Amino acid sequence: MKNIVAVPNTVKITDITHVNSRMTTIELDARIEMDPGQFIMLWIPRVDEKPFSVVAPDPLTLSVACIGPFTNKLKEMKAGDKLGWRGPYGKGFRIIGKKVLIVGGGCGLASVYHLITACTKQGLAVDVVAAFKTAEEAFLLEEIKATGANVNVCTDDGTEGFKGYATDKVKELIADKTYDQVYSCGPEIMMSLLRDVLDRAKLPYQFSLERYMKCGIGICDKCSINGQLVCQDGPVFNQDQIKQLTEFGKFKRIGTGEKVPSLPEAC
Amino acid sequence: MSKIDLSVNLGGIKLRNPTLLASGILGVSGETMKRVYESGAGGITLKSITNAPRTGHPNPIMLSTEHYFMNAVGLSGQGIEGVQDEVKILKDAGIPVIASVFAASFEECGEIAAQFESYGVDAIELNVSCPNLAPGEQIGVTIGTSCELTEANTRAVKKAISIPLIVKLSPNVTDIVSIAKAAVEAGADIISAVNTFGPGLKIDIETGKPILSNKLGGVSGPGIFPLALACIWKIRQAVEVPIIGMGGITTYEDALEMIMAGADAIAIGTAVHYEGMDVFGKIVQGVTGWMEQHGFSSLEQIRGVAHKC
Repeated sequence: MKNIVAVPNTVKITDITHVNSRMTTIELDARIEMDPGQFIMLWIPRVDEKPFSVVAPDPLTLSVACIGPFTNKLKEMKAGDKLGWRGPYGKGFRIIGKKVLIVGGGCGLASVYHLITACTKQGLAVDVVAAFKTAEEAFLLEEIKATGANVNVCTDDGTEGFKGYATDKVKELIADKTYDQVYSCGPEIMMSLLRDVLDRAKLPYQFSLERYMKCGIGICDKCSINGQLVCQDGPVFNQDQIKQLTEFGKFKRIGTGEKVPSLPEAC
Repeated sequence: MSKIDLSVNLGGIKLRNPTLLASGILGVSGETMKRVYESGAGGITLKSITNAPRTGHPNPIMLSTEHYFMNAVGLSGQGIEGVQDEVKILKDAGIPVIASVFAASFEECGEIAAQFESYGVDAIELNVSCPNLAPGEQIGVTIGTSCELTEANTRAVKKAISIPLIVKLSPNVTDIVSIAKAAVEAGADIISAVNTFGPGLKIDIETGKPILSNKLGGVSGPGIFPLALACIWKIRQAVEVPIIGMGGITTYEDALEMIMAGADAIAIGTAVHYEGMDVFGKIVQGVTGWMEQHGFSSLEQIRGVAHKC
């Protein structure tokens, strides 16, 4: 169902936790009905409004990487301060099959955590690959273990778990067993490499894509990727849709609408 | 099958049906706009462009209720250079394209319009009606509320191009008819009306603060339709040139009313939010079905009929 009304619901922060130097978890005095993988727009009154994935819908909880002006402002907020939210928006993950692999990279793990809880609750066998640059940036690992999912931690520098990229760990896992569906959210470079690995292995997948997003309701066209609006047609796309998205791993749009490369230049 | 002809010759621009994507809705990505055409639109208007890239206002730039929509985007856009690739995608697919332009000076406006003509667009729409400007910006509605400035801006663009010139009017004036006449006298080939109403304001009651970052925003959506319709009605009685009617059109019945008030073509914007991107197809289908039921075969038979009473 489409949300016609798009006005922030302003509520109090009930809890705010600084998980590590990068991630902050915010619990709001709100409940929301949504599919895993859908997103909300979060408003700091008179500052700005940005899209965020949801860690848990009841109470509405977000895990945010504090890396820019907006998120650093969020980091300074206290319980009792007010934030506005609207949504949920977009198309989330479809749970398919009995054995699934869920790959979260960096703050992308926040985006797949709700999916992990939904899959384990439905009795699916869930393997998780949680990839970080370094152990200091790891988060949500205890919570994921508590769901009964089998967690494989990777760090680029080997400070925790498997030393290497998420795709290296995935290659290992899919060499031994098969999955009905692979899900992922993380940096575009990680997902574009993962796409190649999964295409070669002929495994079906769903990725949550990220693009600069302004309105969240399919009007401003800023999040367009090959004419698909990430806010409405996505953010989750399956392997057949991603095949059509030739800009994935190549171009993204910035605030003005200009196209720029979507991967770091070295890649 | 029906022999209903919905095609329109809009001042020389041939449209397969009278529905256009209004400027400012989608209108950034060539591929998105191609999809809008494939979902039924007769043509596309690009989001307003000037020379330099503009980010526009911070969020929130839009909000929506069941009855009305409000926006203050602040004319964000990638600038005239970048938009060439988007136009090419549309023109390669044979899609009628209108480029909406604005600029800090009338001369610059003409230069941008000429550059768009070189990209192969079918017409230029001069935006003298955007209400969401930064303090001191002498563009948009600052021009469109004055007959003299509208005339001067229209003249400057008209002499820079050979394709049809559309002037898009603001409804937020004492007498829209006098502005329409000034635009036509200065060389406008087509009038489009109306831009958003207002400005309006919405306050978040929990914080007591305006929601839009710009505080004030232009009002569109179903609630403004009768107001827009009356503007088209009045303009039709005053000028001879074709009119693109817009403002709150959401259903095929609205589209028929707009045509009966004298619009040659209609533009659809906010209804993309209320009804989805396939609103163009739905409206075209609805108009076709209604005409079939009532024994009409062309839009000429109903255009402006509301004036014959």
